[in-house]
Amino acid sequence: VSLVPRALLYLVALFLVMIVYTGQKHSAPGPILRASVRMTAKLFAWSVLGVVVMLALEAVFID
Amino acid sequence: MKLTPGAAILWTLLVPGSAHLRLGHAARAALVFATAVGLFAAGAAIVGDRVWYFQLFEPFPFLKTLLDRMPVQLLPEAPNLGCCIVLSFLREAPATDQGMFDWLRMIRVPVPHEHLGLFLMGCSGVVNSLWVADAHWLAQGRRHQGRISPPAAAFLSWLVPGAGHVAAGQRDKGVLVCAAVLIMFALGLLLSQGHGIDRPLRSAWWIPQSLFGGGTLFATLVTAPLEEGPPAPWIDHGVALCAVAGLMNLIVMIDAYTVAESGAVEDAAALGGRAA
Repeated sequence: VSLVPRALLYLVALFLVMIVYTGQKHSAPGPILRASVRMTAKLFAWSVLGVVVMLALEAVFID
Repeated sequence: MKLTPGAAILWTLLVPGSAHLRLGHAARAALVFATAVGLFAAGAAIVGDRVWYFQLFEPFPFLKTLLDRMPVQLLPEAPNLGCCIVLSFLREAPATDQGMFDWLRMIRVPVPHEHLGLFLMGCSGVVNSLWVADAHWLAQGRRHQGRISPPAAAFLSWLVPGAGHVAAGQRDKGVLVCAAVLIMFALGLLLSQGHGIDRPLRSAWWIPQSLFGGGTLFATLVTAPLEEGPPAPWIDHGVALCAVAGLMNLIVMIDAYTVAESGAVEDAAALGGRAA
């Protein structure tokens, strides 16, 4: 299975987990969704950065 | 009769209903005993010794004697510890090496309706852990005056994610978390072509998956017994997503408990205010 569908699935799953995670801090759906989107974007960006760094390290030290 | 919260936990773990009885809740004690022991016994009657095949790990040699008799590695049944201990004594313990070899081979063989039997046994562990929370709550001398008691809210959320929040008065939040858990679970089931939740095949994954009781029951009765063809290309993703859905539901259950608990305190304060 190629990378793009996997990344999309990860993004969706991350967003759903963040809804439950941020749900503990708020009681209304509006703030929960806004906080979930922010957290998902932040974590996804860090994940992409992590993958890029890993690929770069692999290219430099292994290939 | 006075019982400390810690003792209430211990008593309910060992003899479901005993703490409730000692705290003066005879009717609830009967219900606790009937649900925890009844579900366990019904499952054990179907599965028999095969349940020992699904231990999370083989007991370490230096703790084998203890873990054979107090099987905390049998999850999620372990919170129903008294029943697990009784079952360990009812196990046919082979005396010889050949007998042990035959017994180990025998428990690998599937039995009819094992999906249902294993679900009932696992269910008894989850249900008893909620009764433990209930006994602890009662032993603290607290009485819920809100819409629903905290353990009942957690139980509702175990069956249907978010139902505990709805019952405790947070309808919108309940619907939102319900959608999140259900979408995750449905994605997992879809990607695994219905075989993401299957205790006989993937018993370690089944432990977190069982934390979403309603979904696990659906999969146990409907999708798991279906014949499995060639493995789906996304089967690993499906299994993992179903496990994540179960873990998400654990957070939902804890949150529902907290919401119901704070609601009870608020209602108690309101009652006090009105009385003053």
